[in-house]
Amino acid sequence: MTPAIEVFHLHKYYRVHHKAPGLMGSLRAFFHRRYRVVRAVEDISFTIEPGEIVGFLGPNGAGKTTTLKILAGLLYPTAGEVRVLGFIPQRRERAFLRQITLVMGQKQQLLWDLPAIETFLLNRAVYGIPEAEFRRTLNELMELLDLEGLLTKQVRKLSLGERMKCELAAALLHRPRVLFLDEPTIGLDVTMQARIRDFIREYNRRTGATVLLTSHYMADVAALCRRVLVIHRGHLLYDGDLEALAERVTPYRIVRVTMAQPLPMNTLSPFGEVLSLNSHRAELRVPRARTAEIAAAMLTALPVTDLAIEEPPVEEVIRRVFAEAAQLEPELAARWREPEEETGLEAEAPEWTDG
Amino acid sequence: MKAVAETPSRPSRFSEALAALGATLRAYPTLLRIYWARTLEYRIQILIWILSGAVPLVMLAVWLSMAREGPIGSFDAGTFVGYYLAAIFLRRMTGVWIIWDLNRDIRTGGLSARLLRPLHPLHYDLARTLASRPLQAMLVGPPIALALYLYPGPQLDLAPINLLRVAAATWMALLLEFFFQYAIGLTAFWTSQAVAFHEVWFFIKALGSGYVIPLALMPESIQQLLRWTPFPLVLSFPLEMLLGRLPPERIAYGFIAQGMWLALAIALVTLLWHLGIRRYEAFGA
Repeated sequence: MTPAIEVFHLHKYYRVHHKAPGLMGSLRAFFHRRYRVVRAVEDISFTIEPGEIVGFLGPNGAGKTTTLKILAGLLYPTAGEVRVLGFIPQRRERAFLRQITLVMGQKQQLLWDLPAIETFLLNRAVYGIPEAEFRRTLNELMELLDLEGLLTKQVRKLSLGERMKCELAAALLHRPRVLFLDEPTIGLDVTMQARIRDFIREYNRRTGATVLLTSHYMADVAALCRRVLVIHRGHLLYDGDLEALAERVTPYRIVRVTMAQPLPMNTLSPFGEVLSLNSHRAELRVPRARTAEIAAAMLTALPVTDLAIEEPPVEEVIRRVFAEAAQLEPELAARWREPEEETGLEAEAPEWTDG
Repeated sequence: MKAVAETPSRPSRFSEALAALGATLRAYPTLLRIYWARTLEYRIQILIWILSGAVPLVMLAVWLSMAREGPIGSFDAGTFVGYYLAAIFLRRMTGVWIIWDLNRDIRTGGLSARLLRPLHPLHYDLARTLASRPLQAMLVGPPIALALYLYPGPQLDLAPINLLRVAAATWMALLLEFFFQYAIGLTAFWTSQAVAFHEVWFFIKALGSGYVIPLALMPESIQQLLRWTPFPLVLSFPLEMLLGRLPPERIAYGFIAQGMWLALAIALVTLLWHLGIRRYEAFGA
């Protein structure tokens, strides 16, 4: 099967104009502009199979959004190759655009002053969706997202959550085969986040669409994605199973116990690092390989009424990946460089040679 | 490096272009209807349209006081009335306001949502430009027609064939204005000063198109110079034709010049788009 998304040695550099603060700085910048190159994405490669839901993780400025925008055809890569459904995205051919969508949590496509249904009708015309199919998809989306009563309200009068639901519906009316979701749950309350998450899972199940999603909310990623890509300062640090990642970077598990009576710290500490102790309840960190052995020992030695073994939270996993990365690759820290330090890649970016 | 899967075979460029054109045309009725609805949402803008008639009216008052002594050049009082009243109407039919929006969309990433859809972003702006015409005509047309009817003297050539010609020239003028402004707006891919170009364009156009002063009253050397620019074609040409002041050869020349300038403007937009879109950074979006 041809992969849905293929990315080979993708690079994206931005040229950013730098100006010292203050009047003199402005004056100097007026006569002599200084540019710096920001390496937003450096040598990233991965492929995604049709139907996969993949989480794209990384701190702010890691290059996630830049990569999504390249995949959706909004940005030209500086170097490297990208294919989505066999198309080269930046050519933005009709056949390509009709099969993809990009939802950006902070940016809207809905016409602000008109009811959302008008944007839907506009999309029907622009994507050339046949009337019957449009009705069917719209009904389906209305049911999945609970849009009843929202479509005829002016968009600017909708709440953030309502607007996001309408945004998602507008982005999916043409039944795209590939979804790029950039922070689809940003700013939404927990209930709405869960609702959007369920919707994405259900859409993927019903249509077999490929989904690549970024999120700051680890719950999104943990709930939806078995596979994650971890990106940091433009570099791909990890590509694989979320669970395997947890095992690799967090060589421990969390044991949560409830006891028949309160116990002192020193009774618990021989079993592992006590993370919290609150009268009857305690949380311990134990070495991954010895989890079963320790749990068994605790059950024998202590008045345990309940015991649960848990994976460390995803936030913790990700934090560790980034901490590890910073130690492993000190040169990553030197991402901001002067143009004269440019590598040969500059030559492949003719659009910058005019500066 | 792993080989990239071959691009699946697709229809030829020509049939794809034809399909794209068909799809674009099919999208237009909806685009026009939606932008018509949006036009009605902006009531303040409608007021501005009406107030913008003030400049020609002030100019008209100035000329009328001067023409009390007798005709100025080939213009008598009646000609001035006809000229400036018709100018208000034609200006509303050919005026375009897209540079601000385009500049903002390019610089703040607002273009992204349109780039994602299988329709060139230009069409939204063109549809928006066209969709506001009927309302402008309805608001400005009747008072102008009434004033022309009440004021004795203005001579308009209202022969059906001439009205048809004026309509065609006005339509071309609107497209010219649109594509030139679009080209100016596209400079936002390179510079943060696209709006400054806009000011320059507006200023030169106000003088060069006959909006402020009839070109026929300008010194011959300036008229000669302007003939090499598109400015007279965006207003003066249909306006003087409506007044019946153009000999047949000037009419023919005007249409040919409009066609050539339009082709040039479209080529410019195509080129700037092609070069500029590679620099688009989709910031903030």
